[in-house]
Amino acid sequence: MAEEKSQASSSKMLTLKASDGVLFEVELNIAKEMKTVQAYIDDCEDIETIPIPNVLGKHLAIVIEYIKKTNEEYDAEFEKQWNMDDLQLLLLAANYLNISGLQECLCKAIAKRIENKSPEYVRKVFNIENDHSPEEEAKLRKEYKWAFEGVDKD
Amino acid sequence: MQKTNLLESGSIMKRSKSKKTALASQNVYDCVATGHEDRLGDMPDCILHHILSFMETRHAIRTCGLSKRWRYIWTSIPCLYFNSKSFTRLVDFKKFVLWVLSHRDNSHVKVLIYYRFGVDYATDQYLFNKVIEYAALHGVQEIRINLRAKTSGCPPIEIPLPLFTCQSLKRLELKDCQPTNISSPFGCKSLDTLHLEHFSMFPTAADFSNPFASLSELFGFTTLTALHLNNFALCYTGMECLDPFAKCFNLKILQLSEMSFKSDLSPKDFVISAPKLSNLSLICNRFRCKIVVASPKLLNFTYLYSTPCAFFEYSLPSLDGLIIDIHELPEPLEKSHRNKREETLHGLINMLRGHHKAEAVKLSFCTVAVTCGAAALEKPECLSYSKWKSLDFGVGSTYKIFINKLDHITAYFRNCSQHVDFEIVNI
Repeated sequence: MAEEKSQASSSKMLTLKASDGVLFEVELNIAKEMKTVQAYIDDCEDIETIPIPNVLGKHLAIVIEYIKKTNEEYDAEFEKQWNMDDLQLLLLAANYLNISGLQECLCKAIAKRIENKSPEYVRKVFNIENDHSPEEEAKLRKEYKWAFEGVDKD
Repeated sequence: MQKTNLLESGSIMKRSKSKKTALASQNVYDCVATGHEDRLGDMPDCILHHILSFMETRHAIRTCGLSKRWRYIWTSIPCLYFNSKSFTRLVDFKKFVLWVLSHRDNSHVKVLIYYRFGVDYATDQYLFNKVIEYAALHGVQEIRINLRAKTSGCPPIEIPLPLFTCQSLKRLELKDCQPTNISSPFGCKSLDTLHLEHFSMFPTAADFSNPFASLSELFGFTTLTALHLNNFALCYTGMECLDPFAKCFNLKILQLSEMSFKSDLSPKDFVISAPKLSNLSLICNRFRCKIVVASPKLLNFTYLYSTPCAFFEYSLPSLDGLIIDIHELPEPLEKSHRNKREETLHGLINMLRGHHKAEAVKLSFCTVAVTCGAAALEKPECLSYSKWKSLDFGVGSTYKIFINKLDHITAYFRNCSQHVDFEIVNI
């Protein structure tokens, strides 16, 4: 299907420039799945190169691939290839570029990975600083006692 | 890219404060890329909510202990997901649900998932009422309920009135319950998608002469664009044909699976004639009557066969753009079954005969191919006036032993078209 589209005369090519300078040539219909890019095109019609200052080349490549290949099967396997760091960066990219399908897929994947884990685990994975005092923390644990039962081993 | 979004991405809301948040994202991204800063924590609340909405509420609440910033994030997650299986005792589940409802902030709830897997016959009507009432008050758009009981399967339940009067409710999924409500004066006015599974009407509430009428009265089928019915045993005592979806003026997608009529209480003909229906799926049903597919705007028809007794008649004004996907489960070809199958296929062939004006037809068969070919060849008349230009013909690869008949089949269809450049594409 992508092939047919690139042969059609209406399929214009667009260049996307990642934050580290890497350039990507994509068909217009692929780029339009990124609503942020669509808005940019709507504002400046003749633009050929669109800067994407918030996304590294490596992640933009993954995002473009996702848009081209997305379907139920692909989505189910997609998130398995990435570690937690990449998942978060991809989520930020998907959110900035406003690609709802990808954002949904990534949020689901992250949720699955932290679902039944202890707060210590989640803090480590997301690099969250624990600014609760020990008293506050003890109080929380008591109040939410049932929430901390049955947590997976880290 | 079709996705059923559980939640809309928060980005749409974010866009209205575009400059500020775009810059914020930029800072976060830069920080994240260098690998030193708190990443998830710096994302705007709407993204955190999006992530947390995929977890049971019980797990999402644990995030309150992560840091000060996270203390109250859980209180405005627009999704409530209660699953009694995560609790050792049902009484703890109840306490938890009531606690959450009273400690949540007042922000709206987009999705409510309530799975209470009970032990005995009765389910907790009080708790169910509280949860539905809360959700309806908070603008719920999607509700998914499963009340399966260990001993009895489908407990009787009275569906609380707030569910029917809820103007925001668009999607409803009910599994394993028997509503005792006879009818609702409201139906569900904004309901778009209804999914009923392993469901039955409580005996006194059911209208046996037309099983679908009770459902239609309760939920109001006329606003629906998508309807999924799964695993019901119906009774029909009328003498006529049953045409339950004729008044579903907005219905575009219909899926019936694992449905059956009890013993001899089935109609003579089961007609499916919703005026705007474009997608019809019949999956593993056990209908012992003739099925008449008479929906004028049908574009996609999928049929996964399970009993040898179904046979089809098609009453479709146009085949243009129609995709038919028929699968049969492999079964030993007993003589009686084979006859019935040929009737099924004859229905299809008769339909194709009737539609010689269609230009493009896409058919895919798995296992049916041979019988179709054989049956077709037995009838000498061809579709001699056919204007078919192309036929996309898919044959399931598991049935390779029948491939040698493929030539006969494709030759048959080729003969039926007037066009020299008639194309058959093997999918």
